[in-house]
Amino acid sequence: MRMVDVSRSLPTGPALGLDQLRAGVRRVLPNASYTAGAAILLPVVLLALTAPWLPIADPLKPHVLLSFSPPSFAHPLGTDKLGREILSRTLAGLRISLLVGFASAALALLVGLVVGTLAGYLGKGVDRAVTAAVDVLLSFPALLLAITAVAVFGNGIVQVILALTVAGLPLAIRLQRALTLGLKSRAYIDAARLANAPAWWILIRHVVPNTLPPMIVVASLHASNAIIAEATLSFLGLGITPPHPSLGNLIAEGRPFLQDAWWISTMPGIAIALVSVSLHLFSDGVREHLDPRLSI
Amino acid sequence: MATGNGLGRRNVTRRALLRAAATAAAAMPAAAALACNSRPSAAPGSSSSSGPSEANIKLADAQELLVRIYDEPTGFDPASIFRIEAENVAVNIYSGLTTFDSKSGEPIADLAEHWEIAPDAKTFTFKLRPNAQWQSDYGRVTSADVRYSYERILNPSTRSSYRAELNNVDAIETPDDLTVVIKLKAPDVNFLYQVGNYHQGQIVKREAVEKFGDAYPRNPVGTGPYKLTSWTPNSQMVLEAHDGYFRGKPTLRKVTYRLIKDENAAEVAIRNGEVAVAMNFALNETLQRLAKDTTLVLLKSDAYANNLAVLNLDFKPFSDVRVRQAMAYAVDYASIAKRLAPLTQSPADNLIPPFMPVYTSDVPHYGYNVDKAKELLKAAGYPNGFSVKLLQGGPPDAPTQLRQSMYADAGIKLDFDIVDTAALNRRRGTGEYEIAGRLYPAVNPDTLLFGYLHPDNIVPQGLNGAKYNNATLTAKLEAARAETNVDKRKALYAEVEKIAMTDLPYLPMYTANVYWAAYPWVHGVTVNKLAEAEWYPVKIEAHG
Amino acid sequence: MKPLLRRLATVPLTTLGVVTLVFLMLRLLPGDPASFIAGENANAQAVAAIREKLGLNGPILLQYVHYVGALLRLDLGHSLLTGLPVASILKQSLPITLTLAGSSVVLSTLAIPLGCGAAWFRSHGRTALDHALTLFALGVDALPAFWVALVFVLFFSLRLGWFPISGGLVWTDLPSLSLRLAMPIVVLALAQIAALARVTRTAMIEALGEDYARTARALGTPELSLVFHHALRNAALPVLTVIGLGFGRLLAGTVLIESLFSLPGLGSRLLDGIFGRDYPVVQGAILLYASLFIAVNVLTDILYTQADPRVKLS
Repeated sequence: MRMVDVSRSLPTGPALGLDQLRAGVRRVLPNASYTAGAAILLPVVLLALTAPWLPIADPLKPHVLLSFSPPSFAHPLGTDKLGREILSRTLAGLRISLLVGFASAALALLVGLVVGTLAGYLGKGVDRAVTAAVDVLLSFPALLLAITAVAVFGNGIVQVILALTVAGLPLAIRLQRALTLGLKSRAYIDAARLANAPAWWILIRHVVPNTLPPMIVVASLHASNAIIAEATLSFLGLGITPPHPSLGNLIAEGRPFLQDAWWISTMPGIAIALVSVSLHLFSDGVREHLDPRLSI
Repeated sequence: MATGNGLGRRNVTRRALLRAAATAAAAMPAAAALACNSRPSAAPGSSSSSGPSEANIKLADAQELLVRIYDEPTGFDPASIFRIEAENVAVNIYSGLTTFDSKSGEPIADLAEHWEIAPDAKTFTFKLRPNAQWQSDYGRVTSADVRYSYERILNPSTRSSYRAELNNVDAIETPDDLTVVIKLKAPDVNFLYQVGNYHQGQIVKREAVEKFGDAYPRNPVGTGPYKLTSWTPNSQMVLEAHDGYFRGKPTLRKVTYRLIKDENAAEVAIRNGEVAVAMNFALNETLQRLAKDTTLVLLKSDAYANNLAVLNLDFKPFSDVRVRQAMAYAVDYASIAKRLAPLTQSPADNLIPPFMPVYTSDVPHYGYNVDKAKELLKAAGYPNGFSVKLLQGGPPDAPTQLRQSMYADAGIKLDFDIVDTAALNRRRGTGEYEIAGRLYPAVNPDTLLFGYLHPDNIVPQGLNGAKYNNATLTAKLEAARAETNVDKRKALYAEVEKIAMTDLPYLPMYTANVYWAAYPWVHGVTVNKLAEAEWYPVKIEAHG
Repeated sequence: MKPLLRRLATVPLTTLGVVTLVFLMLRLLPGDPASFIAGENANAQAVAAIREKLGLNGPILLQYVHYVGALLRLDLGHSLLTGLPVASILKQSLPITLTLAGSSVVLSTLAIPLGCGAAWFRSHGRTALDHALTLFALGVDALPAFWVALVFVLFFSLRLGWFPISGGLVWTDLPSLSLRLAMPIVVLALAQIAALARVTRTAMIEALGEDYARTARALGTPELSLVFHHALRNAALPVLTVIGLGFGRLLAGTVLIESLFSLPGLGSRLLDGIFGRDYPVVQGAILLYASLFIAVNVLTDILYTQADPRVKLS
């Protein structure tokens, strides 16, 4: 999906500076998907992170007299049964979702890199064991893995991050393994081996850097899935629980009041959608930039 | 809804009448026979019928009812049955020696026509009706059936959850086909409650239990007005009239229960007429909408059970009564009920609900007073408050979250320890918590008072989750149970309640109301104090 | 043939792995079936008695061996809560889940014309339309399924009253069945549409850019025939593969969707089983889910290798 070259729309000026600018822009904003994704994601992330210092209501303090206020100027996204601002609670929930999403994606990436590379490079027994384990995990509906993990380890943000990391690991491991296998047969790896370079050096210097780009694409997709998974978990009452807001438990809290106060459930869902769309666009953009034909 | 307020007024009048009647009865000499009340017919003015007089209604041709049930029962074996939705079905299938008056919860005649209580309150002689027939052609009801049923509960190999309820039974004798003599180990004037149409009191047929074995819970056979004729799991159950019922052929011929778990869906179903009666609406918002709908009637069981906060006295701050009292002063329960749950919650001031004859309001009251709470905490050595974890089944609802916020204002940091049902049952049953909550529907005051306050019932043995042990109170409680004189008994119970509310191992948070919804042409549906409704008095009026 | 056999040989091992993992995880959950069954107000004695009756007191290894042995005899056990045989519970609920999954896959094939359209627009320079369609597919994919379900319930059931959200399923009554299942099927299909549209689009773009396509265009073959006769045939394989890969996500989706729409399918049984600690039901349901998933995976792998000999099964 090669988009219109950004530099073409810029007016021509002193050749040297502009060319450098163009090159620079193309490096940071390689295509429109990437740009669009970042354009939505950055302000949202910024809003969510700075929310505690913004002049908006406390997400936790009840004001029963303001119960069920519909969206208006005074209450931009309305209030819930206890009169708490949905705007504040959504932003607070977003903060948690982003934290969970990115943390579990990063963790899955890290562990996936290590285990997948080892499985792919060392082969034989290690590889077979890892593949068998991955197959078993992949045969589970991922949601159930996460539900059980949280039910066993208890509610709390750390447990949720761990549960979602475990749910995302199989794919990360499998991909990294496949990529490593592909690279193993490359000429320069053979050359390095012939030169008696130690395995860990080969892995870190040659294998991993080449697998990183596609893994990052997958990781950003995983982040998006993790955010939705966290919402699903907290919707079911697991993970982050009231009064602490999370996008999922906000939607769940609003469910009994769908008819009277539709805004409680609908607003957080829109927030999830925004973040998810932006992450998808972003990951699409990265993928396009690397290789439009890369099939994942 | 036009009839709503009118019904409320009529209820109060009727309650006053009942109290007057009870006082008159109490004036009679105490010894020997207690009055055997016949079942009161579904009188006009109960919170169900909306017509002026039941006798005048024109009956519909098809006396069949569609009812929404809100959860799937797991079985109907009296030895193991649990949860209100199952009990609701079972009360129509079975009979006990006694059953319970729908307003006061007091024992009235069922399979036993009348009974005699010996002056020492240790021997109960029941005379069975001669004409009671079993469902499914199992023949006439005899005393052997009663003896089998209760011995089965007491038999350890049955593994009944309700064995403890009949612990006091020493021997069961059957001098003839229609007489049952039950001898108790210790005097218990309230024993009549234990043989009621509820849990262990329900009579079963040996041949049926043996025939079905492990499948018996899904194939119950009773002596009640309805038999279970079909059960599609997670979908619907059908009850059909048992014409051999000892009170006479039921007017209502068939009841079909449709499982609709989601309350929004249930509201849609009753509005559409897919069901004629919908059991149990829990959300105030739904109820307020239904109340405005003039085509429907709301049926209420008023103040049927109290929701108590259970304070584990092993938790250090709670070992000091001042801290416990501070917990009571710190939260404005009345205001929470009024603002967030005006229909389903009413203020409570005692461990037991007000419908119980031994209830008294002459107990210490704790209003909302944050300053007093802080003062008490400081006196007890917690000037900066303390932290405590509330064992909570599922995400906390709005009233609970507001409670947390109010505690914070008084310096008490309440955190939620959220677990699901299985873990909640286990931990609450073994006492692994600092503070928990419990709502226990009951009609026998001893169930609650002995359960919560007697040291023999300290968890994990029983309901005494606070681990409360007060010798004075225990003595009074045991004396009350053995006291045959009504006035003296009431006085003893009153003292017990007073001590309990002073010591405050349990905080009454609110009294719960149960609501059903129905169409006005369904007459005779009354929800009793166990949140059950019996179908026998129900008649369907011809409607367009 | 040999790699195929080797692939099939992993199936029993994977299945055993799944069974073992579920067995362990369930027993790690706090609170056991007895605490659930005995109800809120039972005492320790009653709970202990029930635990004994359910056979939960023995050493775990023994229970495990017993269970696997029974599985080999095709005995899935009985529900701890109701006593009904697990096999019959699963048999009753499977058709609903399969209907939901199957219908939503069929519905999601609407994504194919969507992807084709996007590719066609792009190849003719109408990139704006291409972006619009792609963005639409992306947007739909970004919505959490349970949220979409709630919004649907709010509009189409509670506000407009077009679709019922309660009531049992009567298989013979097609109109009422369709009304009852329409919303969940649409919600599930939406989740599949984005991935499918994107893959179709990419595959079609590739196919349209191939040499033979350019030749055909040069020879003057009408555009439409090009698209449908050649390009689509070449795109068929990746599309089928994506459907197969998306099946896992679809199965996972049914779990929550069934619960939200009160449909007594496999997913509802599974969730109820987890919260009620009904071990045999959960074990049986997950076994069934895993088997379905593994079967579809193997099929997809076979399809993939049959058509593209360059790809090996290992």
